[in-house]
Amino acid sequence: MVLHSDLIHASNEMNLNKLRQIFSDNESLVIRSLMNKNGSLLASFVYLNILVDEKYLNQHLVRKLNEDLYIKTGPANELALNTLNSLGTVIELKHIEAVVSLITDAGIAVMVEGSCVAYGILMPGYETRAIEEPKIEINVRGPKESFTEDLQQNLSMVHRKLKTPDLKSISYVIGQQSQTKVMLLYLENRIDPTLLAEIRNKIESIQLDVLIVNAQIEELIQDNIFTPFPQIFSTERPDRIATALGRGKAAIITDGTPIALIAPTSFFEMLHPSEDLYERFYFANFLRVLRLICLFISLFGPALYISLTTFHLEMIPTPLMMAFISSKAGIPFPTFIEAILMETAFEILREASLRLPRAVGQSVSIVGALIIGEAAVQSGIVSRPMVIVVAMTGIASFAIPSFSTAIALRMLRFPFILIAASYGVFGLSLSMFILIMHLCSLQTFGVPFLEPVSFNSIRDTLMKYILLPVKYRENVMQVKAGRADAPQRKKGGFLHRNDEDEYR
Amino acid sequence: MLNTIICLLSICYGIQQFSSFRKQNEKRDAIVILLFCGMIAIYCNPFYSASLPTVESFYTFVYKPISNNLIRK
Amino acid sequence: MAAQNKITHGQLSCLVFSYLSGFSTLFLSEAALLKQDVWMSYLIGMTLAIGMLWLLCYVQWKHPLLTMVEISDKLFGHWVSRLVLMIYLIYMLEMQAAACRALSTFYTTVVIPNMPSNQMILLIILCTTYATYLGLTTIVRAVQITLPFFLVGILIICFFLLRDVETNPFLPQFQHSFSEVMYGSLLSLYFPFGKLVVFGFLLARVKNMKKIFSSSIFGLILAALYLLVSAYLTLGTIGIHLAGTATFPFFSSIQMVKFGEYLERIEITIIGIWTIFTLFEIVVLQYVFTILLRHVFRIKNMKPFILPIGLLFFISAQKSFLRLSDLTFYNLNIAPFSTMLPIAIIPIMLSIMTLLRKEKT
Repeated sequence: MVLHSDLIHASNEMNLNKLRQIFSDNESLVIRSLMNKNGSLLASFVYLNILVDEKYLNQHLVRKLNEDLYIKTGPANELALNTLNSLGTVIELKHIEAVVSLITDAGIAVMVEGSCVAYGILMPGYETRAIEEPKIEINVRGPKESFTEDLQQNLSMVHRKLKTPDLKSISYVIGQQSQTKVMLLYLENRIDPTLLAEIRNKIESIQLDVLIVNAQIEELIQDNIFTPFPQIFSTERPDRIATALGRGKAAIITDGTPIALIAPTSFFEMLHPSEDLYERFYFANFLRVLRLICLFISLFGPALYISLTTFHLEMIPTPLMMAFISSKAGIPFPTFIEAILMETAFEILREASLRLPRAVGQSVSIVGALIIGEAAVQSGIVSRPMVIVVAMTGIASFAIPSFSTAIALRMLRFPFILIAASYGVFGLSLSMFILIMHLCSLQTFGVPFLEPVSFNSIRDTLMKYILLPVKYRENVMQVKAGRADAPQRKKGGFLHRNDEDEYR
Repeated sequence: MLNTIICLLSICYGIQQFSSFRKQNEKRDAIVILLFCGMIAIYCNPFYSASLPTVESFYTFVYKPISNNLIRK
Repeated sequence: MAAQNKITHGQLSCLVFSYLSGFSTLFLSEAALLKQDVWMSYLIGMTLAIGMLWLLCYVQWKHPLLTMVEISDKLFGHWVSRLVLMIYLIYMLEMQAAACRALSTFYTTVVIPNMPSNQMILLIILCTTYATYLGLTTIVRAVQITLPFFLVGILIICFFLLRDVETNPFLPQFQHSFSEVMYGSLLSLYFPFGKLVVFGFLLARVKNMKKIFSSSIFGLILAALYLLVSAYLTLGTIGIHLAGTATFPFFSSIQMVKFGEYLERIEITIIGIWTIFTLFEIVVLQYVFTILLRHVFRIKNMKPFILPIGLLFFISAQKSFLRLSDLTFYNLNIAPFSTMLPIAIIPIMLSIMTLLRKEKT
């Protein structure tokens, strides 16, 4: 449907006919008119009853407007404007398109007979979800509120944490059909202006028909779409957003999505939950090291086990080697097939537990895991060490705070298993090399993806990665224009590549 | 087998890049890539590639007399 | 050159270290030859390499706005420069073939005997081709990421081996003749110290031109120290005679480590170190090869050539050094002389030409 930017006519009848045409076959459109003593039309107001708070509308707006227009003397549009001003923020509308936009956004448009200007006021009456505890990023000590689907509520949560006029929010409307509101938040005194300009350009260049979730924005603004690793961090926690804004990053909040995006981000940020900032720095650093170990186990655990037991048994200490060999006795499949079977079963179980109703999900998944593990071992299909390895790998992947990163690691495990089964430790070394090279080549908005590893100063690297006590923390964590360090790349596909200067 | 596959792939790649460079009017690049891929295809061909010279054989041929003299001394 | 394609002097040091370390401790040919006097050959080889590096840095300092290939054009003229660069191209093919073969031979001898060498070499080359495609800044970033882990690995290995060294293996000194020590120095100049000549083509990519010499020296000295310590530990743990006869002496010494009746088999660490460092070595060679090839043939768009260069490296490695004895013979008899031209003679010529031009102006 194409909206014409027709001006509002002085005759209400003509305006209303246009609106009826635009909203044809839409039963929720309500048009109410106020008449004077003579029976001539004074004013009309138009709204969608499924979006607007009709009770408030009837009790306050209709009654007051009726009283003011009927009883008081003066120009009708001025009286209407005064009435509406007493109830909320009034928007002046000069085009039919603006009226339609307001109506679809839970607003009420008031058109006064004889006036070429309509007045709008937002009066949302739909139900929104209450602020709840975060479900994915759970903390012990930190705040226990998470974003909801309502944009205003989310914005207010962030504003309550950053009570400064430097907190800026730029509004965008994305989606021809969905007209979804998107807000870009940043701290003016912290963010790098070139970074901000780049983010703004990317958001402004988004062309979408329907924007439902901000995952669509994420995919459209990230630099490399073919990498398995997410390059923009998503969080459901307002405190995480506030911390990121304080570090000179920008946040994107979308109406209808309870997840906000943080850009730019780095690989190590995906491994650090907000809990790190709320605990003593000793434990936080210990947990950071532990998470790195979990990352390694999650990615290379089964592959390392396969390569050692298939090709390099002599590298395993003798008692352990004897235990592996004895447990493998009678198992009909090679280690690689065992690993593939168990990993696939684990992935299926994990996916199924997401879809099961909450009441039965947890118990079914636990029983399923026990049955699969125990039954598979007792029937001689897989060996016990393999069940342990797969279980450890699964638990290690749950220790990765970022869900998107954990999925990427789960996905990458399978090719590594194949490579380890074919080429052993050699293949694994090459895979590690390729992975490191790939991660080093990624960047988000000009900031290298492995950004905390500062390539100019080892001291900076250590100071950024190792969490310091709070009083030393502030200045080091700033996202600097380490952008000069990063090569400029054209946005493109998997093999997007350099300019002419690279091989000079 | 591996060499045969590489031989065929390099021929296809060479021809494809040659035509791509010709379209961009980069004649020098086109010729260089064709020659390059041709050389790779020749070295990978399954018939007589074993007798083709390598850096090792070339340098051994050139420097062996020098080496024999100097090391003997 | 765009500022974003430049690297820092710290990154240069890291790259130099990992490039020179490569698989330098794999064969320890000088240790097998000179035994307890090997430290002299390393010292002399390192000194000669420092001299060569200084000459290259001098040439670069005198032409701060030009890359080494452009300097070569300016000093030698169009056609002679191309000939000089072709010599380096062949040198790089020679070095990478030796590197690929050494690594694949090690794996097929010790780790995975049943794997075909060709497949291994192809996989190595595909990885290095991808790295070359990503560019120098990505390569140095990857080096910086991996280097601390490997340094820790090296330290752990040295710690465990040191416990088994009872007497100073470098005693008694001066048991070999002057000519033998000179020959050993020539060997160590060829491999690994002389490989540094390749960095002459990357000096223009360093942000701070004044520090190119000091940062390269730092990497070189670290690599020399690593080599010296490896030789010391090898000779100290498995003895002079076994070190002279074993194919992979350092690996053999690590295999003997046993700590607390349980912790053994730490050789997987050195396998990882050799693999990754050798990959970085081949990546640097391939990258510089790409730069030189572009200049020699005046190619405009280099991207489509990266894969064929990789394939060229593959066939060069595949057809060369078919047996370990060929590689050993080549390393001991041919390469020390064949590499004199790119390592010593051409840098000397470059610096003389620079000096003459400077005096003329």
